[in-house]
Amino acid sequence: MSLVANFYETEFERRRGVSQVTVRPGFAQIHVESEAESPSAFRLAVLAAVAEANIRISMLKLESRGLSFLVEADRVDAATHALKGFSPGVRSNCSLIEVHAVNMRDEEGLIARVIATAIASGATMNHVGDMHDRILIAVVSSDAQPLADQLFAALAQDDAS
Amino acid sequence: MKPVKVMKFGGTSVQTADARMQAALRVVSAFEQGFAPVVVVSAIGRKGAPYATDTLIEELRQIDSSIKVEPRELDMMLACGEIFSAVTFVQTLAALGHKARSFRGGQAGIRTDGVYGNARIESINPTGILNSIQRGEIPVICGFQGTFAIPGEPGGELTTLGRGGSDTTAAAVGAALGARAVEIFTDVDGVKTADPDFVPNAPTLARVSYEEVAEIAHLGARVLHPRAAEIAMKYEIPLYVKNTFGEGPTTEIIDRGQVEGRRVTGVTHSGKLVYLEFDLRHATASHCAELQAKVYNMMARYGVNLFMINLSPSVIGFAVMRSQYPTVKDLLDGLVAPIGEGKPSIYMLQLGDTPSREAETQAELLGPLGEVVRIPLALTESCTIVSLVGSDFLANPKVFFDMLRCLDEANIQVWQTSNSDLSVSCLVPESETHRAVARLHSQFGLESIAAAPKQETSTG
Repeated sequence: MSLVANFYETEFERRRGVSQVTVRPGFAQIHVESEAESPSAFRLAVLAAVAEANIRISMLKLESRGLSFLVEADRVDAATHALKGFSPGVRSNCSLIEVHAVNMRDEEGLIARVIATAIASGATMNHVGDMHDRILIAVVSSDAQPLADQLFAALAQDDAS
Repeated sequence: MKPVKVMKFGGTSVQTADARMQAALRVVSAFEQGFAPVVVVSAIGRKGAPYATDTLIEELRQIDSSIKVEPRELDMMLACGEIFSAVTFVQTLAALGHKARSFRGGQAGIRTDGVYGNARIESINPTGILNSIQRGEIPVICGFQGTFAIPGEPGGELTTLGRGGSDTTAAAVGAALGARAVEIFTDVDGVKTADPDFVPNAPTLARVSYEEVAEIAHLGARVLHPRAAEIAMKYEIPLYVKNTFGEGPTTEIIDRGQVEGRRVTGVTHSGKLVYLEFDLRHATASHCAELQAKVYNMMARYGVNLFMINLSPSVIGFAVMRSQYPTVKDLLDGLVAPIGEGKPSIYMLQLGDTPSREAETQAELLGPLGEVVRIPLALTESCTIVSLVGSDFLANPKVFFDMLRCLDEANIQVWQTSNSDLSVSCLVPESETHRAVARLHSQFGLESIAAAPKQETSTG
């Protein structure tokens, strides 16, 4: 039997550009600020308090007078308790949108295109992160699914054409 | 049939006759161990070497730098580097008494889409490679290239695969051949926990997941290209990173499920960045989102890569690679954006406190149309991103605190942070890159991470 007969052409890399947009619900955003002279000392005190309370955080954003971050929704009470000396603000019902695009750093301008589309949608967003195969956007939950749908419609169709 | 082992050699591994001989001896050793080695080579050498990719591009620019090189012609030129490298490697193997045969990407059956300069592999028909193996030859494939089929043109069009193309070729050929292993040979021992220029005692990781290595590359380290990692992950091809020039440790790249426990895998740093921040407080609140969207659309249209984006309502903030900054400056300084219905407000972006002559002229010309609202842009010219990469380590509530405290105690300013499921990143002054990487490496105990074993034990 021919050696070659065992082999077939094989599909390889995923299509470039946006392949999928998903919504990860179940977060709340905590926001803390102060008039303290040293924002870095203040931020460390806040982070120490949440770490001490064993609260996992993500999407940490440093702001001129403080910081904000996401916590899992079922940890909001624990977080506000741990931060009671810091007068935290809480925005309940937040979600993470994940815009999947394999190896997206090599697709020049793709991240800017995602952000431009998201801003134009009017959604209330808080912070952005990225990894090798997706962009993460922290957003108010009521805006999450409509934004995900818009992003997929605008970007996946663009990339297919 | 003998088990196939794909062996990919990067530019420095084939740079000199001595280096090629060492690489060829590794291939011969695999052959003598009972493998059917299939070699993939990059172009010879790095920037400045006669057949390196950068040198070939420079050859074209020197003809007349004002004339754009067509992407098709650029791909034809770039492919020469790998062809030279492959044929030279064949001769080196011949000198060792082994029959070998060079293959261009198309001859190796690599079919791509039609995007010159950044093509994606769509299929591989490995018939030619297999026939070569059957004849007792060692196939030597030009990395980084393939062919795009055009109806009516039997030869097809040569394409190149873009960044990390030779790694991608190796992983894809390994998948097509059902290889026992794909070995990526370079000039360092495996995947380190940090850049050894910054942390000389950084250990080589014994095992790292496909996702971690893709993230490490995404955040700036030159290890294995994410496209190669993704193909290997999809087809479950065992992947190893090895040093061509020694018997030092090897890194095995494995499925995420096989990585034990939560851990920080390494510290990376990006290239040189410029951070730009527009203060939108002078803009009418209802116009801010449209102004932001215009700026981001402009960055998208001109292919600018963004880092560390700040999404505050009153700010447009992001970092760009320093190499892209001149383009960004040309695009944004003096940019005029009329926004609003009826009599629109006229906004003009202005770099720095003093407008450029062009921006001042723009403002004068626009004066009769109404007030021109200047949006000042603050620049931070020298910054970089340092990142922790790992598996499930964000489940540890102390990660952010430990990272920021470590940098604070070293008096290293952190301007912004971001994170993903696999990493936490901080924007810091470029001048502090070395100290930041070294401090974080120590803070997270990476110098004592279980180091990789020597080479022979890994591929079995």
